[in-house]
Amino acid sequence: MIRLEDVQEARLKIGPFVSRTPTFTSRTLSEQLGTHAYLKLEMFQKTGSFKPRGAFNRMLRLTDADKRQGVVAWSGGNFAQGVAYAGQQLVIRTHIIMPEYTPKNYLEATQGYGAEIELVPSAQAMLDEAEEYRRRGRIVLHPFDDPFMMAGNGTIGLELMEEVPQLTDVIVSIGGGGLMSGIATAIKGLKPAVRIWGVETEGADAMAQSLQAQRIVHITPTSIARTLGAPYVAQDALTLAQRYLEGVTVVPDREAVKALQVILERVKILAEPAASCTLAAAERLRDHFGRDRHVVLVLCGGNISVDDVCSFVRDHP
Amino acid sequence: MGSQGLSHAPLLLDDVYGARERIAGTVSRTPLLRFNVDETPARIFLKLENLQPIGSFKLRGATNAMALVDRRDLANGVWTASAGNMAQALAWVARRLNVPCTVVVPDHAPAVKLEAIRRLGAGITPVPFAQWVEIFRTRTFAGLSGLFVHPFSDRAVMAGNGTIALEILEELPDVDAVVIPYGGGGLACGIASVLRGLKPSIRIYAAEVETAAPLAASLAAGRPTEVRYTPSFVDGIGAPVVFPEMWELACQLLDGSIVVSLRDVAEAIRLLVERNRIVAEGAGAAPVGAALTGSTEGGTVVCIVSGGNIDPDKLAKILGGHLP
Repeated sequence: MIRLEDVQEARLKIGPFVSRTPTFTSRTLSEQLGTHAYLKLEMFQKTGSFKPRGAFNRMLRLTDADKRQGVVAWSGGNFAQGVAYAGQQLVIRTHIIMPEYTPKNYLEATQGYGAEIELVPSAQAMLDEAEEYRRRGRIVLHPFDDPFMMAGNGTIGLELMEEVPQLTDVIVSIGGGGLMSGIATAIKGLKPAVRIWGVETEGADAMAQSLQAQRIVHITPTSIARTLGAPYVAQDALTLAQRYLEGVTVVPDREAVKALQVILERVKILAEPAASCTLAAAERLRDHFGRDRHVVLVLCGGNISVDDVCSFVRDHP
Repeated sequence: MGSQGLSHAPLLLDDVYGARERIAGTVSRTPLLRFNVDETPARIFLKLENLQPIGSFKLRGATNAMALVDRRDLANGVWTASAGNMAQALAWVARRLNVPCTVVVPDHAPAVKLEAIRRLGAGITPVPFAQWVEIFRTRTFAGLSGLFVHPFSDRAVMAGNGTIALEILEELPDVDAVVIPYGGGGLACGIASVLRGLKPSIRIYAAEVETAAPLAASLAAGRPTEVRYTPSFVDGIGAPVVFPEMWELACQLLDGSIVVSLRDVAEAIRLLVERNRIVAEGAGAAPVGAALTGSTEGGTVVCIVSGGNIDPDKLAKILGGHLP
């Protein structure tokens, strides 16, 4: 289980390699939500999502022998780019297993950073292939169930404590739970009174189901918020969620798409549904906020193609 | 079109520091972000004024202009002449202060823009274009007695705009050049006044679009010169003339004007969405197009992304690789 110290150490380690993204005070969304609303703009991070933070923290720990061997990773989304980019910067070969149906923009971006891509027919095939590499002694990076990933992600929490010291609430989306775990560890370690709210979408609600069942529940993701589509959350993430979260709000895809449009049209930023769902959740949670609270929405990424934006809007009127 | 002998004394830094204090609770301090494209002619940064409420830097000038006036003197309301971002900016600020706002618009202004202004609570007065243009010169309109906020030729507005320069210098003190879209000149002159005062060696360029580049023509001729104006999807900048009182400031403060094509602007808009995940309107993307031509020479260049108010269908066309 990671601790605040691990996050602080991660910050020193990854500092030269990742961006410190802006936390933007949005007057528009503050008015809309009736509170003080801030946006942590991780779509401005290198590769367009927060993933490099964890990827660098993990890959900087590799021994020289490990580095020469190169790493294997599996991902249908942002983690692929995070690992590929870190590999390019650190001169470590990366081999990434991705499902065939991964959107073209993700495949191209990942290849653009110099990763070797292996396409497989399904999510299960991806897990099986990863397991095969592990059996054969290769270093296989888990996209979220890894303490170094979580600690790297937690550096967002450290930045928020500096950027918004008056912070009272943080809203963060949950895929496998790596982002939430890091941020919760950092923030609760520094200011326990801050409330942390988890968000998922319908069809990508492994955490909500796991909290309900009080054990790890496996799901088949169907949400359009593909980057939230982890088949299960990490055990540590579940433990931290039980300990730290006020709750998990599950929003329908439709509301995540509406929120994406609001952010695009009123804030002029492109957020992917895995990020915009935090605004949808904030709407549902608005009675918990109000003029005296300072609420940060962690916008985890903006890796959505224009075509996808158009089709989502069309399919979710 | 005379200026009735109006002349703007150069802005004082104190005017801008004062503006900064006045606008602090209302206007956003916008991010300064690296342009996420490899192999560019310079290290390009983006000052994201498109993230302001109502999506434009104009909020800074509108807020400062209204804050300088006694509350009692606002009882008759405020008004401006604009169909675009200044109209929205003034309406937004006026609504926050509970002050009536009227916007005089040219009668061919797009319904979408008028709707945006109405939604912000302002009253709209449409007039024929020739009459509308006169307002920039006379600063009066029959029947309107409130405070007139000129969209650009106004010290308080320029001082508000100048606060952008303060933020840039604080965050990127080693900036070598700044590129600013030039329409009426209020943004360029406001920012340039501060930069010349605090970092005299900095290079400051205007960015114009080839379909209406009066500043470039005027600089080449050495005097205000009228050009032929062609309407385009870049509706935030582009006029047939440089206003005389702005010309005096502009030729003192600016190092030149970089003129870009509509294709350059469209390409910049596309790159800003795809690489930086932000939406810029034509005027806001023009400086990025200008920086990509290499005309700013090397070093660290900041582009003022002045606004993000572009019609969704025009944006869609551009992202699809076409010119609207």
